[in-house]
Amino acid sequence: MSELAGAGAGDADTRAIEASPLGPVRSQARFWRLKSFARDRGALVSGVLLVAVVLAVVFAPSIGRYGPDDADNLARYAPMGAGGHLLGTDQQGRDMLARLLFGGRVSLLIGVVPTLVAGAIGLGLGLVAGYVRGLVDQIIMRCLDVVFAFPMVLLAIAIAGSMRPGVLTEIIAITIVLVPYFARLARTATEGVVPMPFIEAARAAGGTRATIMLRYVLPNVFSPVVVYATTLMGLMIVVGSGLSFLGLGVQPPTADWGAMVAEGRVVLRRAPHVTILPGCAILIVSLAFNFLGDGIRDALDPRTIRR
Amino acid sequence: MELRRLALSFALATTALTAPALSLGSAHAAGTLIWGMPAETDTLDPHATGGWSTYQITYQIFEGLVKEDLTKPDEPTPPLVPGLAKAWEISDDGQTYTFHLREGVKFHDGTPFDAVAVKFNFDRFWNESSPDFYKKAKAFVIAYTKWIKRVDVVDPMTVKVTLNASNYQWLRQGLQSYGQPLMISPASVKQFGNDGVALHPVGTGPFKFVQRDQGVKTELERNDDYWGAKAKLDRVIFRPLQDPATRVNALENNEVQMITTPPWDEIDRLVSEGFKLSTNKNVPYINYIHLNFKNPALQDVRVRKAINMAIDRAGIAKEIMHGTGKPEYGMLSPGTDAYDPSFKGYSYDPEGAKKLLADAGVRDLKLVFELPQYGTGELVETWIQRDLKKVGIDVELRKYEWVTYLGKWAGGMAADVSMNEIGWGMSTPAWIGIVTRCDSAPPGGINSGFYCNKEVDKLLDQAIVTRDPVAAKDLYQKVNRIVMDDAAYGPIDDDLQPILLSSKVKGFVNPPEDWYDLSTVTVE
Amino acid sequence: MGAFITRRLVGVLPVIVGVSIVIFLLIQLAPGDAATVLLGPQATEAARQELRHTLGLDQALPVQYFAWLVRTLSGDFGRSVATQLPVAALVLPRFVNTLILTLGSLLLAIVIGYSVGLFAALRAHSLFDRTSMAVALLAGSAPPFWLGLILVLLFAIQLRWLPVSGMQDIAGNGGALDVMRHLVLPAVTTALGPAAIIARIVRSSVIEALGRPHVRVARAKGLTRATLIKRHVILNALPPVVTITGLQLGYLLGGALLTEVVFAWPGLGSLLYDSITARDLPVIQATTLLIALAFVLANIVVDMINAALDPRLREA
Repeated sequence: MSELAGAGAGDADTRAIEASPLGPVRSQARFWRLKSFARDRGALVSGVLLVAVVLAVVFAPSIGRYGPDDADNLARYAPMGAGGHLLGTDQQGRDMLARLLFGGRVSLLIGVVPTLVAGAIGLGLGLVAGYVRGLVDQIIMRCLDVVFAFPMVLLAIAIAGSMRPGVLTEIIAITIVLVPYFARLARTATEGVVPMPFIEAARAAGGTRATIMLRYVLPNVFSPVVVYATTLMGLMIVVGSGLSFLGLGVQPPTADWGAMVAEGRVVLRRAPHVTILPGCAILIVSLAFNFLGDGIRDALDPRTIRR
Repeated sequence: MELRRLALSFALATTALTAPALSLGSAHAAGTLIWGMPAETDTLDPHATGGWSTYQITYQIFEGLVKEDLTKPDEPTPPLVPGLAKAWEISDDGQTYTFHLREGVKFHDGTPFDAVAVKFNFDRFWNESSPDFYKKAKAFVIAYTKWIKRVDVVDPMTVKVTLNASNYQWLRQGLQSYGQPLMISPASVKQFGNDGVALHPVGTGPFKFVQRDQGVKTELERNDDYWGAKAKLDRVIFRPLQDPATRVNALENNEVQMITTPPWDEIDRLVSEGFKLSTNKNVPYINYIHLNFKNPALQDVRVRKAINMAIDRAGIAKEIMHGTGKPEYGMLSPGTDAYDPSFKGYSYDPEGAKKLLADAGVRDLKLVFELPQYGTGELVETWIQRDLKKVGIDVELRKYEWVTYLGKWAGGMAADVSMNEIGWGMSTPAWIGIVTRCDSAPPGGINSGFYCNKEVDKLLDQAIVTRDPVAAKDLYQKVNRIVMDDAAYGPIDDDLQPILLSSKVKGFVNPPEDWYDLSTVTVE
Repeated sequence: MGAFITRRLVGVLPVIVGVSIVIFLLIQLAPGDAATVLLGPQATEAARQELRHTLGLDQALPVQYFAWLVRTLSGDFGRSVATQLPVAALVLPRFVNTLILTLGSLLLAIVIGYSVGLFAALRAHSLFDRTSMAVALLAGSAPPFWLGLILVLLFAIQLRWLPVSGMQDIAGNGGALDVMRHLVLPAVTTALGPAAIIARIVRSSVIEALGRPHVRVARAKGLTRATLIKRHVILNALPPVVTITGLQLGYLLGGALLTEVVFAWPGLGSLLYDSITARDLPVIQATTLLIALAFVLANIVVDMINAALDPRLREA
């Protein structure tokens, strides 16, 4: 197994924990326990909340009277509720509500897209490494070890800092950083599936490597990866906002929540809402993703004891 | 050497942790000024650096043959006063400069200042055939050295510099050059090497270098053997605090007593809390836009005029800069003696701009505006974006981090870019030529929009050989009028150089220059 | 144990080589031209060319890589492009400062995480448990740089209890107490997230340990609650918790980088940030390399602690 964590089969689990603020992902899960999920009120509320947030940012143009870049030079730093601005205005007199909604599009994109892309890539790599084994496995895992040798945020900063600032840069940086986490998880899960009798049977029935991998192994590796992806999205929104905060992400006049915090902090005392609101947005959405991930994990994991 | 320094800094870091706490909080030593600066300074070698923020430190340590008097805030330009040369003569043809050196001056390392030392310094930044030549220095002091034909030691206290053409602005060009021809102790360069000057800056100035902790502080102390009026402060500490919010917080918490480039929106509040705001109305640089003559959309002068008329400069100065800037309509800064306060240019007239655009048959104009990334958000640029939107011009802002931007700006705009911006200038009006001349176009110069008008070049050639300041002034003002008739640039504002000081700081003078004389300052 | 350590150290070598290649290549991606930075906009193209040549920037990539590697291995990290100072002299004191912040935060995270987690587990489903776990969830989800700003606003600006920037009183003589005062806000900011995670893991491990058969047997035998917890529960719950704590190191180091920027803490994070802005390649390389190496070493240490706690792992 890994040279770095060296903790045997629990490796992917423990790695997952570094990234997930909510604890280990059980990779053996195979059953959706919808009832248990529905009983988890936190997860349910979070799910509903996230759907609402997604709808809000998608339909942002039809919410409120202002566009995100409509600035009123004479209404800068309006407090919440003043002059028809429900959440006030920022340093350029732009409506905070509109900016939060449009900024949310970028923030969600940065939380979700890299997780999905890295999940897909990592799943593929882990599947191949775990099933084919041998040299291929060695090469893939040694390369991933190198990525693991960096603290996640450092590598993301280094990658994003080496390219032109922008949303795409941010997405690429986070994706690269995430791939190894998914790959390890998928590899461990694959290793657990391969010795199972039904794989043996498929092989005896003359299935090719590719068929077996795709038709029999993949479905069994898929669900832990999905669970992991959900728990990671919250963290990635935080990491992405950190990169934007440093100015490595989206460029003005567009701003995501991290960039809004960065812009507002200069006037933290004069107009605290400009900094506090986007920070709260990050907090709430990442919290919701974490609850949701918790709920899905518990629902999938037969070992979890419900109370 | 390298290893020893490592071991030392490690030991220091450790003692800092284990040493008993001698001081808590802000119990500052008497007479110490801590200045929170917006940028980390680069090398302290004045010959090998070009940044203002670095010169703000090296100015305290080093001196040139001629100095600017920075204690006169109301002069349009700092008067030239004797520095290490107590007197000088300029030949009638403007080609020979003879400097009579000040006697009895010693460098901080105790070695004497004389003609040999002067020759050594010229050799270092100019004379390629000398063993003391330092290649890197030449690239920086170029605006000064490109005029030099030869340098002769006449006697131990006299040096003669011969130029290859007439130039009456040469002394000021030296002070405004990207790197400065200041006098470094030859002994220190020989001891520490050319690269070693960075950590061993030894000059003759009112303050001596003590230590530098890169990214944390640079510390100077008073030079008690200074030849002129001695500094009042015991120590000056320069602290780089890039983040404007941190700079403000540090000032409020008395962790620094002076901050430069305060965020505009915080100035009023800090003043109301008792901090002192210092400004100067004759600062020798302007914030302006280069318009790109290679951009197809800007070929028609009416379009360029419309852009100029669409920008509400007064609004920017009032609403964004809170009165710490004033509208600028021309390309001569108030910090030069050629400044014309009565010059009008294009006043704010969005209707007129719309009409001009209609006359030119332009509709749905989309322009690209390149700008550097600032920590505080692009308040002025987005304001301009909105102003232009109001007359029907869509502006796309393209932001780059400073270093990349500087390369793009100096390299000249690509044809698809319409405008970029910069804030700079010099206290010599000859600066307008650096920006506008045909032969200043990239890659040879920084005329970033490739503006070219032979008439302008002709007048500038004339101005540089005109010794009479009044006649020269007339020529520079003529150049300014032509440039603005062509609407080749979009001047925006003059920065009033706001500096916030703790109420304990007395005697600070905010001069018409980008660096300050700290020898007059005291801190209670 | 000795063999285990040797194996781990040898195994890590190719990783370190890989790390050095990644760092070297990353720098090549970067936009902007060091020569322009160094010489300023008025320099001629010829002068820029010459400088690129002096710096070796005009050579083939593998040549540049090996030259860089050889120099780095011999302890020469080059000279900072921006300040002319030897990079090693720049980076090492900063490294010490980052260690101070990281270790301070780690300690804080461990103390907070373990005590909250243990108390919550022992009083599972109590008000304390619910409240502390809710707070842990919040702290674990909040962006640390934002948290830092709020803390500054509260404790430094409003209450004036603590300094807002730097690591020492600039004019004074420093001293350990002074550093501690400066350390409080950045360390709390960095530690809160990891502390929250540790608390949750400790809680679930302890609850699990409490339910194990031998603990139940011990309880039946009449051991006092305190002895029970000391002897059985804590020891049994330790291994996963140590692993998690070790893994928080990466998070802590990463978080410290951002915190340093917010608090002007003179560590590698703020140095890295400044160097990225200034395109100071040698400094970026050295900084990234040092942090990655420190992280690799820290992981080995964690593995050794784990192995010491659980002999089975040594065979893995």
